[in-house]
Amino acid sequence: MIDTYGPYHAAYIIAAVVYAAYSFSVWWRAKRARERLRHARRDLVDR
Amino acid sequence: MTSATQRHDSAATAAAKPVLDWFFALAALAVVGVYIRAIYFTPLEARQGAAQKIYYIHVPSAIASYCAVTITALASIVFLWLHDERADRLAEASAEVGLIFMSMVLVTGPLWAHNQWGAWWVWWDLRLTLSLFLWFLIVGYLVLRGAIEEPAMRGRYSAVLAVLAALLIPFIHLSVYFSAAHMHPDPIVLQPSKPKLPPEMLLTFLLGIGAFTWLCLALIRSRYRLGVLRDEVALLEAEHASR
Repeated sequence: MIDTYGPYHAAYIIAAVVYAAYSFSVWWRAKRARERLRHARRDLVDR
Repeated sequence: MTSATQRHDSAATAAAKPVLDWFFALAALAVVGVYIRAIYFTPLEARQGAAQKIYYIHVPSAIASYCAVTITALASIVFLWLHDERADRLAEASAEVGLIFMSMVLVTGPLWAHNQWGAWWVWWDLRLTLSLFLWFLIVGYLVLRGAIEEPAMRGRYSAVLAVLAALLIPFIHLSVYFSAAHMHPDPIVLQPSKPKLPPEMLLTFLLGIGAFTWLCLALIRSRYRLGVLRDEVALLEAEHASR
């Protein structure tokens, strides 16, 4: 049987990294949006 | 209470929810489970060797991306019909998630193809080219949304593009039957006759479809909640600017 572990490992690692990175990006963008939301609410109350 | 106030209140409630919750955590665990089963508990295919295991993430990612694009199209139809901003937000969320899954299809596919065909990409293969075309359409959809500021116009124009993009999906699936000269293999499981996979491989594949589709739906849910947060911020900032 020919050795085809290279592309197999590459595909599994790339998929895991990309899905994890996208999930992190959603969490990170939500964190930033919540901070902006807090600021916007505070600014409205201050006025 | 007016419908605008109700919407504002429901958006505020939704904004309080975490974007990555138990539904996402369970989906991520399911995908980890599929990885473990595919790597350690699924036999190697005799002719292709380890590269065949790319199948357990390549095809489930493709099916998940089709689900996401279909949700985008259905939500777009609802938006065109009812002009409900929630449908537009859902369409945007599922398009972004669909792009990620489709990108993984276009990355894992060539890795497998180079090993089996001796070429990363075959331009005359209908399934490959149509898949790339669908990827460009999703990118175009998201770029279009970013380019139009007026929400109603943005929703309307992008909805039409989303419906047209989703029409490609059956053509992509059936493309291997349209032409005798194609490199991409015919469907092994999603075909009229009995699946041509041994039971251990079939189980890993079906678990893969379940787990990746679940992850896709969980990410759409999370991305939708991010959209709610962003809309809430935009609303408050607009209110702030108008005072």
